[in-house]
Amino acid sequence: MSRKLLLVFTEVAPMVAAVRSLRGEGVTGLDAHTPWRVPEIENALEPDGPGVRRAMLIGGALAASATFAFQAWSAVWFYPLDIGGRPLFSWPAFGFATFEMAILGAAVTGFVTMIRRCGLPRLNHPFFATAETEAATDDTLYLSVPEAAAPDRLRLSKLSGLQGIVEVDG
Amino acid sequence: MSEAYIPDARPGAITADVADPILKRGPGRIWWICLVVSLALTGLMVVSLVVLVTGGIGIWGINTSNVWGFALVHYVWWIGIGNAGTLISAMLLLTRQHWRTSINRFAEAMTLFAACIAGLFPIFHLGRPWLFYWLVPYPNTLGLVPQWRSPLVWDFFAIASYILFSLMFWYTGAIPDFATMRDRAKGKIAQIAYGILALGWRGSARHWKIWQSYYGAMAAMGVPLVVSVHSVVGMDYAAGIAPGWNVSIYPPYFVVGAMFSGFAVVVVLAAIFRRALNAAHMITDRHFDVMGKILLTGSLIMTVSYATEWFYAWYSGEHAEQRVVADQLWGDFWPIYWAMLLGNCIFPQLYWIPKMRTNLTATILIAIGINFGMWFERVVITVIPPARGFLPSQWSFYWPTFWDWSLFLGTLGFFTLLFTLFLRVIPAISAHEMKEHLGEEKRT
Repeated sequence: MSRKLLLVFTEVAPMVAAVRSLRGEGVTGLDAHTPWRVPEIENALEPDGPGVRRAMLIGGALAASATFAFQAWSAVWFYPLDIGGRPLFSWPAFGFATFEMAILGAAVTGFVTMIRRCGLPRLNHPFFATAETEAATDDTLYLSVPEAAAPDRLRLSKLSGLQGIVEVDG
Repeated sequence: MSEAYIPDARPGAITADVADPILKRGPGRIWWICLVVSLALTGLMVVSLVVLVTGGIGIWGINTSNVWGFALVHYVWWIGIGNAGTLISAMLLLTRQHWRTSINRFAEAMTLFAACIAGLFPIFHLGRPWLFYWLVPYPNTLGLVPQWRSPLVWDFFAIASYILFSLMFWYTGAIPDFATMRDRAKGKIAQIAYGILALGWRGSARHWKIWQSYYGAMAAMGVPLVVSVHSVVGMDYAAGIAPGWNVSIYPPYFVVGAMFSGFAVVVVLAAIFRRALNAAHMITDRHFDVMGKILLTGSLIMTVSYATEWFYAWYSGEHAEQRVVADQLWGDFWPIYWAMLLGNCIFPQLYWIPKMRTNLTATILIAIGINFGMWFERVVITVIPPARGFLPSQWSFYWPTFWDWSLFLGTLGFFTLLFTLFLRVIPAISAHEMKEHLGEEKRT
């Protein structure tokens, strides 16, 4: 099992500087753990595109098509109801369920995709093995560096704003 | 009045403000009183439903002209309140309003609770509520499918989609805060419960990027969804031919009414949460100021909508329409119509005065007045047109019975019960978003 070093910061700016510095030195496999979303760190780390919205578009389109097709089929062929001579293919009336199911289909697909792409649920990650990382959901920012790729400790200790280093199994 | 929406605090202090009232402090006497009273009223709701199911809907005051009565009044009233939470949260997120973070979590919870309660009314009005699943298209031995041209079926799809959507939107927004609760909890049960709810959230940069992509897309879809849901409720009426119902303004008018009534409830809830959580630095006077301005705008739009109805009646030259409006304004129904105008159009004008928006007592009283006004509006819309149909032989009064009132009171108690429990279990303010904006404000 590969080990990771968690560089501890309490401010965003030094952590972003550290990410840029380490990436500039060719260190790969960096990740960050922050209590709130920090767009600057996302930009600096450039994690993969999530692909969630594409999945939502496909899920929504499929749900909408299936709902509309089912309504049309059931109203025209399977169970036609002649009410005051109104057309069986009453497509404006079919729009309501179609729209609602499009949104619901996209939402459910997106939720499942988000969970899968995040690798959740995972309740036993090595990140949770030490109580020190509990502050990652409170007020402390952690920069995760694979130990094998990390510069030596002396170099790391010179990073501006570094508050400490925690070792965890990767 | 402070100019800040976000408190001048360290992130750790925000965590403590949000998590400690649940994890470290006891519930307090007022909370227990709320719990007992709301439990008693919830008991009344259960008794009302049991009596309804055993006795049939004849125990209500409905008759052959007023076939819906309070069931539809309260369905629309509750779903209106329910529509606002997701709408407020999604619109404010899309328009990058930072003050949203203080109110969005409980506003979305309000949506969930109110929408679930709203769904009870049409289901129990069916008479045989245990067969409500017939509204779902499923393979069955009778070879039946729903009637797609029926507004009741549109409603079913709208409400069911909306509740599920709102649940996912609310839960997604709360996952990072559940992780905070998991890591801060000391008790075993709390650690396990919040641990499961957090799904193993580690706040990695990758998590945040994926989370944001989904959450932002949900907000963008949430706004048209809410508009569609309450438009469908408006179509329930507009698709009917009764004078007073058959007007094309209903869908947009209902959407604004929903936002208006829901925002009024949010103002009241914000005041309660501010007191309960001792969170005057997070739910500030400026929040009430801006919410007062939104309610004022809503009131003006509602006033224009009512005036448009009067104009339609006059301009159409249709006697039945004109009779309904006349009956509302100075006929048999004037007390409820003027109560509606008082609550929705006249009282909210006090929000023009800046002090009325920031004085908590005044703003709560006006917001409660709006909720009364909107309740009267639902009565006006649901009860008067069928009571004044095209044929005088159809004319009748609708008088609610004890069981009509008891079910309504019971649902109010149930709503209070859900919020009382929510306050002790769920972080009521979105701590991670507040910290994010704290960071943004410091950096800019």
